[in-house]
This record gives sequence, structure tokens and C-alpha cells, in this order.
Amino acid sequence: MQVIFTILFCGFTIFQAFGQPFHLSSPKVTTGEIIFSSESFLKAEFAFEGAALKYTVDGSKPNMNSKNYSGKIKVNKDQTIKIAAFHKDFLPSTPIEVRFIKIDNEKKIKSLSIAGEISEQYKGDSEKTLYDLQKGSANFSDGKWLGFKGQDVGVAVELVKPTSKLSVMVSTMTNTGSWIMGPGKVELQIWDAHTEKYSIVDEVTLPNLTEDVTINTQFISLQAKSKRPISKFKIVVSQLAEIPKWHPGNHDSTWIFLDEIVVK
Amino acid sequence: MERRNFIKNTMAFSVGASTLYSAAGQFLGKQNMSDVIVGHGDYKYKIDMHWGSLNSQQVPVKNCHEMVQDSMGRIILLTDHTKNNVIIYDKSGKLIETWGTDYPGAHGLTINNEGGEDFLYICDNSLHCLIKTDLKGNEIFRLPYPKETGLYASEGKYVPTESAIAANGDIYISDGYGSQYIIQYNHKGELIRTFGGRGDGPEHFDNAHGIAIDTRNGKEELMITARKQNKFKKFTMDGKLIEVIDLPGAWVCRPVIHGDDLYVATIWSGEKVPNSGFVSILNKENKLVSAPCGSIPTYENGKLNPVYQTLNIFQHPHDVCIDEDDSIYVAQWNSGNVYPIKLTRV
Repeated sequence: MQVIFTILFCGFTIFQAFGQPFHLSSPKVTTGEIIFSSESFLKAEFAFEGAALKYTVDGSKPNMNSKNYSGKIKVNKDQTIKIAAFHKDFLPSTPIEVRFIKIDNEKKIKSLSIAGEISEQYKGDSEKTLYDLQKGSANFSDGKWLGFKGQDVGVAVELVKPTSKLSVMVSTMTNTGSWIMGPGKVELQIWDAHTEKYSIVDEVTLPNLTEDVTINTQFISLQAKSKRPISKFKIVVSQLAEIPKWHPGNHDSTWIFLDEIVVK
Repeated sequence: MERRNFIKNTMAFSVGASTLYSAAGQFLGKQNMSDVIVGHGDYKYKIDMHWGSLNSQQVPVKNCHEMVQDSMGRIILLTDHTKNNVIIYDKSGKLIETWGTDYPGAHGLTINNEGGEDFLYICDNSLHCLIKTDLKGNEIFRLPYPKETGLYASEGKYVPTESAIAANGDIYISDGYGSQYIIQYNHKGELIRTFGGRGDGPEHFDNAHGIAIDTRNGKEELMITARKQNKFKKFTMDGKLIEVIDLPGAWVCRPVIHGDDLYVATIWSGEKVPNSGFVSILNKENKLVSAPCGSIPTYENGKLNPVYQTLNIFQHPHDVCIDEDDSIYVAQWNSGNVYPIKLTRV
């Protein structure tokens, strides 16, 4: 079981904008396994007189008309739950967003190797950390995250069973207060046994970081189809091209944090 | 059953009727922040966000680390801004005077009345020492790093965060950002003993951030923070562990004893979530009875359920000062250079 204290957390708005109304804080959320094979759950709590928790499962932002949270939510498929606190006298909280991923029990990854220097401080269980199906919490020093400082990271994966349709999810973190600026781009390259080369087949460029989101963990989905079965692929996670101007550390090098690569 | 009753009897919040939140997500009326009441049980407060606001060009602050009240009733703030390390307010929040330009790591502030005169004890993180001054800022002495203990290979290993002064003049210093020892000196600054330190035992510390003399049991005892462990640890004056007080989820700073209660700024909650602080109030039995801007405190089988922020008013409260009207002044670390906020008891 893990506790997600705040996946998305609102930053400095209140104090910089005197005269603005107060926000509720985000509810305290506890979940079962985020990457699960049979069933998981989400539990939320918010001990505040007169407040209600509302949630959605369709990806939309919860509002006053969303479903009322009245107890543990069971999850038995891929699902994103967004939950927020509401009160008639205050602005609603920033929603907590949890993306659950259902997998089958079959082992997909045969081996995995990392091109990049894992930080001594955040080394988890080295390569194994990336395919142990253990999702890290919002706390980057919980031992389930690998940290890389000031460099792009390549991860080469060999599959147990070659496949013509590949779906990969890469779990990364943003924590702007701790210089974890989230990757700028994530690439999927597949190995061609004939040419003996990797070629880029999919890439995701992440949206610009904004000042109000300080902590965020996210799965990035990448896909590939190939006539010839794919037996090996590579994920390349690149640093932000440029640290946003609003960030106090805009001349320093930043961190990339990875905790899991899931093959579906 | 017990828990339900507790929740029922503990009003978390009330607010002026002028503030209505519509389903469409728009405020119907402008919220008057002074109408907001925070806290639980008998400990409820009105918020004055502007109590300590000053002209930031003339009297700037960086981190507002700690506050104390002197014998004249004035509120003294310690900041690490070296234009004015010490800012003295009257109770209405009016600026009286400032001094101090030599304390870049000004962190801990303790006041002690000695023979009718107030003295300040400042722990400086950057200078690795304790500085004793009078109320005008004249230095009486500096206590450098405790080389004589044999526990410190270099000055850098000593990063004191707080001091407490016993009735007999003994000085206790908590090395909260350094090697986690509690160092006891006599009033002349001669070493008496050390205890605590880093380790896994109940008598050890991880972030011994604050220390106070607790006289609520009719004798002097030491209440010491183990912030990263979300605990207070009570010791005898000669360094024997008496009791561990568990406050799951609460990253408590310096304990402040006032009457029969212990007040403490809680800088983070949960897994050190940024901007998740609130204020905690423990009764004489060291049970959390009110958490202004935090969740309603509930106990199950004598254990506190984890606490967390519920109203995003504070960012990183770092210290509280309680006046004779039981009102609370809150100083904050790393919170956009904000001045202290006042919680007026209602």
C-alpha cells in the first residue's frame, strides 16, 4: 500500500496574491498498487468540517457536480482517478490525479540496461528498480526512484517474447522545488535486426512546466508497430532543453527521475 | 464510537456568511479573510494575514525563522536577511526598531530574563555558533563549535538550530542541522555534557530542530524536536529520555511552552509535501487538541491518526510566538518573503 500525499500541488498563489480567497489543500490519498494485475483501490481522506470530496474517472477535472466520494474506490482496469476537496466557503483544492495501470502476470522484460550514470544518492535497486512493477511515491527518496543528474538517460530493454505491437509506459517525476524538472522529451526506438540499428518510432514532448505545479508524477505512453517482431527497444529520456525563466535555478543542471518502465 | 464523538464535538471551521461558493466555481461575494476562523475545540483563531507586513524595500526579510516576546510585551522576529536580522514589533504589528547585520544564518531565537534584563540567544547556522546579545544587539558572548566534546572533527559538522536556557543559567543547544547532539553548558559556557546524537535508538535524533524547557509538570524538563521522525522527545535536565511523543505526519519545529500547552509550527505534513504546513497545539498530556489549518485531530487506541494540511493558508510555518492573550504569531521559512501572520484567539 502506498500513500500519495500530493501528486499535483499548488504553489505560491495564495501568498503572492493577497486578497485572493483561500484554497483548500488536496485530500490525503492512499492507494493499492498503481501497477496491478487483478485489483487495486483508492482511498481518500479530508478531515475538515463541511468539506466534500468529489471525483471523476473520465479524465475530466472534478467539480461540484462530480461524483461524491463516500468510501474506498475499487479499481479493476486501466483508470485515471481525479479527486478534489470542495467547501462552500473556499476555493476547491488542486485535484490529486492517480493513473492506475493493469497488467497481466506474464513477465515481459527479459533484461534492461541503463546508459547514464545513476546518482549514488538515488540508486534504488539499480536497473531492477525500473522493471520491478513497484511504482514510486511522490517522495523521490523512497528508494523506488532512480535519479540522474545533468544528463540524458538511455534505457535498452530486451523482451521475453518478441511482439509486433509494442506499448510502453515510462514513469517520470517532476518536482520543481527539488530541481527535478521533468524530462523535456521521451523517445522510443526499436531495434532492427537486419540493419542492426535502432530507429525512432515514437516520441513525446512534455508540455512546458508551469510555476503552479510543483510535484507531479506521470506515465508517458509510447507505441510501436512493426511487421517484424520487436525483440529489443530503447527509451531515451532527454533533459529539458531550457530551464524555465521563472525557476530560481535556471542556470544549474537539473535531475531526471525514473521509477518504472512498463510493457503492456 | 470514541472517535466519532470527538469529531462531532470538534468544530473545524466556521466562516462569515458573506462568502458563498457557487457550483459554477465562482465566488459570489468577496471573501473577507479576517472572517475565517481556524483551529479546533477550544483553540480557535481569526487570521490576520497582514499583521507583520512592512515595506520590503526598507525592512526586508528572507526566511522568518523565529519569534519571541520580551518582558515589555514586544514581539521580536529573527530573519536571515542581513540588512536587519532582528525586527522588533509592538503587539499591533507596528515596527519599533531593527538591528543586526552580522548573522547570515540567523535561525534560532531564545529569550531569557536574567536579573531583570532580557537577553537573546541566537543560533546561527552559517557561523556555526550561538550568540548572546542584549535587546539592543550588543553581543555579550559567542559560543563556538563544541570542539572540547571530542565529537566534532570540524566546525562544519556543527549546525546549531536552537537553544534553551534553564533556571540555573545552563545553556542547552540542539545541533539540529549538524550532528544531532544536545550540548549542555553552564552559564559561563563551560561544557557539562552531551547527549542525543544520530542513531536508531529512541534517545537519538534526526533533525533535532528545537529545544525548550518544559515546566508544565512543576519541574524543569527538556522538550526536544526530532523533526524528521515527526516526534518530540522529553528528557530530564541531565539528558535521560523520559518520553517520546508521536505526531505522525507533523514535521514539528521548535516546541513553545505557554501555560499548560505546547504550541509548535509544523513546517510540512505528510511526506514533506511543499507548502503543507500548519500550526499544532498539544495539551498538558501532550495530545494534539487543535491544528489550525490542519486536519481535525483524532486518536485511535491512544495513537494520533496522521495529520495533514486542509487549508492552504500557511506555506512553511517555522516558529510560533504566543502572547498573553493566547494569540499566535507565525513566522515562515521559504514562503515568498512573507512577514509574520497573526492568529487571534477567539
